[in-house]
Amino acid sequence: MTQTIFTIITEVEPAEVGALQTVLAEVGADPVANTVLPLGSFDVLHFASLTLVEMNGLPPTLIFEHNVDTSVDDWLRTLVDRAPGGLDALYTHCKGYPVGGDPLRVRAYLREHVVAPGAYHVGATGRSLTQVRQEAGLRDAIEGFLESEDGAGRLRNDPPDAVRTAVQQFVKSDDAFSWTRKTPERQTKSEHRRHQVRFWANVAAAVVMAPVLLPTLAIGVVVLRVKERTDPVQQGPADPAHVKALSDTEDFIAQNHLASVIPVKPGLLRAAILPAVLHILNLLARMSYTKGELGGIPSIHFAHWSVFDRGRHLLFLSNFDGSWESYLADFIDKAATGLTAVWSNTVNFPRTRLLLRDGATDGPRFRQWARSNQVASQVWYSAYPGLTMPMIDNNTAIREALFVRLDGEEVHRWLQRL
Amino acid sequence: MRRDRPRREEQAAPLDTSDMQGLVGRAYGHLSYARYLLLGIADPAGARRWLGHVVEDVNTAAQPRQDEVCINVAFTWAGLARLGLAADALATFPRPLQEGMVTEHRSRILGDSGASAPSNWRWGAPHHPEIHVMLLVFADTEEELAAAHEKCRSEFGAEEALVEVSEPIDGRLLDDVGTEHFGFMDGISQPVIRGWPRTTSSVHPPAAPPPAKWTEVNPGEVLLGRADNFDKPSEGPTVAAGSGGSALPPADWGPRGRHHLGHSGSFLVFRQLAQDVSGFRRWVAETAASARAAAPSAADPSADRSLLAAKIVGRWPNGAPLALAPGSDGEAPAGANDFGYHEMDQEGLRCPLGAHVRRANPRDSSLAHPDVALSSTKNHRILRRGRPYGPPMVDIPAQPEEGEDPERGLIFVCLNADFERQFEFVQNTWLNNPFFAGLYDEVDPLTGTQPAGGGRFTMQAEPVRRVVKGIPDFVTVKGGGYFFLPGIRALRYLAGVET
Repeated sequence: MTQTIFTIITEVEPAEVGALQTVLAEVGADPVANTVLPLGSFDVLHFASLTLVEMNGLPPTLIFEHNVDTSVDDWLRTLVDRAPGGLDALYTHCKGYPVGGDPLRVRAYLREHVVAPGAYHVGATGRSLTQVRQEAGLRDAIEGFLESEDGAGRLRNDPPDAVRTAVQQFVKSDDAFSWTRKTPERQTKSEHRRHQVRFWANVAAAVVMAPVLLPTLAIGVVVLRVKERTDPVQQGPADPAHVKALSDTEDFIAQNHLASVIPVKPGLLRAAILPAVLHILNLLARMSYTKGELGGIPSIHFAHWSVFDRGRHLLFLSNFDGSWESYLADFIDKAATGLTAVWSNTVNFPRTRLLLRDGATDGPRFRQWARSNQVASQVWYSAYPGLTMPMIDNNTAIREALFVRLDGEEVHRWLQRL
Repeated sequence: MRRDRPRREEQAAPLDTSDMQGLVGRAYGHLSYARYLLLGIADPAGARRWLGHVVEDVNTAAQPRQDEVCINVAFTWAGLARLGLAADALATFPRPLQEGMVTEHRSRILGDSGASAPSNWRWGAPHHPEIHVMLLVFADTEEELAAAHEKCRSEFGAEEALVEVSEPIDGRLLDDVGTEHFGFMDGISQPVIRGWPRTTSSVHPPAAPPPAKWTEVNPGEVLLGRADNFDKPSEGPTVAAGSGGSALPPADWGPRGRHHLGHSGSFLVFRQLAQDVSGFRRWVAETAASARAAAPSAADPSADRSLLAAKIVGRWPNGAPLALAPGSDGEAPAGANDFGYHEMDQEGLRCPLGAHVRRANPRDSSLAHPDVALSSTKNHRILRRGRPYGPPMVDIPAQPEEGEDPERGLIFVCLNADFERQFEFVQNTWLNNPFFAGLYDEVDPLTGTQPAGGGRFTMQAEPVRRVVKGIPDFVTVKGGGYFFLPGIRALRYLAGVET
């Protein structure tokens, strides 16, 4: 099972911006069950957002974020089949939308505007929405079982193996949990092998190309150092009214959403570096960050970068646990290098050295810059507003080890997860 | 143009304690009585004249410990505006100070809902008179405190320049080891400012100074314009040179030609937190009794009253931490602070993952790598300067009745350089976070705002965790505000602003 992450990015008719805002406000007021586009009705959609961006140097643009358990084509087919009215209501305000609602033409229009991520991360690798919900239900049921046993004074003094057996029997006794014995691995071996092959193929290609690449790189580094000294950087805090408007929408459920659209620095150098960095990060993410953490950050459900507007703008979309402050702290404390390598190619990023150094490690300036460039999403949907990434992982770990043979220490660790 | 790097000489300059208000350096733990006066400015010109006089009386961090009355003074953003500070300078203050403690979002992240909602506050909410200035008065005896209050009032009230807009709040130490009303030693784990000329004292500093590994932070975590944990100056408010600002040092950030109003200053958080001591004791006793009744023979942490209370706090009443002293308060020194969780208690079997002190300072336990976790934790520390208020509770009343139990609690005061990264982070990402450390939907059992029907608290145990439920609010917010605690030179500048 593979998740697919992408956006549909369309240009909005300038005269239609107000009308589109009205539609977005209606969807945004109740993303789960509104009558226009009830996002809660899809059982393969983890997170979604709709962001109308209006900023200098970019025509009014609608960005529709999708994080789904299926392929792009299957998902678009589902959307067009099940929510034709909702798509019409949104995209009739966008340039080139086929009026008349012919499903084939609508699908072709959406397909044409799909932007694939340059690099992405999935926290719950390989786990479908159904599985996430089932495993949460299983854990809740075990919790309830332990509560009732405990309330009756049982289990507290029992040896670990006896407690585990009692839990196993409880799960077996309920047919609703028959799925627990046949759920797939998080990432199949063939998927893992494919990613490894791709990674090493890239390394091999780089080695082969070295005679050409190295001199280019050497020139690139010199130019980069000159630019890094002179590029303008963030000046002071973000506009308080802008930050207030953003924070007013935050901290209602377990997760928050961050969207940013930032102009890429002009020139050939950045145009070359940015896709290369995203490519390398994406290879690493597929290889290494499949266990719920991204470079030590345990709180990201779905996040991606993509370059759009003919390479002139960089989009970042993330669905993460906890507050904006804690997310940025994670960025700064644990993942500054990778983030700096990407975002230093966009305007006003804090001062860097050799692409990777400084930058995001300057926490206060990085936070100012991040807030300044954040854009408000009018619609944001989460399929599991009460589940954090560590909970999802813990629920999976409980299920995975439920019926396998464990030694004494493993039993102890498994029981501590309950 | 922006200068990116702090000038080295400024970085290396020793901390000028004579320019700092005393609260930066001490909590006045040797002075048993405190009164916090909440003032509004009636006449800005008169208030500036008053400030010009009172600055001479403000106790500084350089002065030796003394038994005489000590005063400090702090301002809200509205107060700075009322005093006549120019708009360009006001705009350089951080958004939280500008907006104040009460906004919808801030109430959400600080946990100020239900009984703690600003609509139920006694002071400091939008429906109360606006507070401009806070005078912090510390004294050795009640008589001296009353006399000092009288003197202050005669000074600020002389030209009717300032008026007290709310009842003064009286703080009072309960003993000389820093015990708070629930009966636990408080203020043990404090950050220490690197390069501070002498040990930064908590209310009652422990005999042995804690090792720097756990406590030391860069000066800019507390003081504005100093190197913070990111080795950059912590950005504070600035003023134009032409406004008399050249008496202040030049600022190392922002546009050129600005001067550093935050020099030797800090940002102060003030919250009045009522503690339901009899409620806490009653709940602990009842929960322990029902655990014993359910399983009389079980080894159950919730079946023992003192252990259950210690699990909630994460320390025993004498301050011995559960991480070092899991079985009894004699297993570690009182107030011990030289410990982490990673090596000996990553699973929380000793000190529960959601215990109050572990949430308030997770030390090295928040991540897989203890060193990264610790350095990350240190970016979110606050320097606490509070003290209890209200009469001590001597015995558990046999039949507590509504109304006859006088209010008591904690005057929470802390200093930090960045409200959002420090105080609000601690409150939101650690204390009130329902999912802290991988937990499922529970907030701080001691200080958290609990959901309707009561909160839950998980104690990791073997073979499986114990959960206690039905936790009521033991702490209720009664008022609060965000303040700027200027340095001495900045106070002089503020006294001289021309409007």
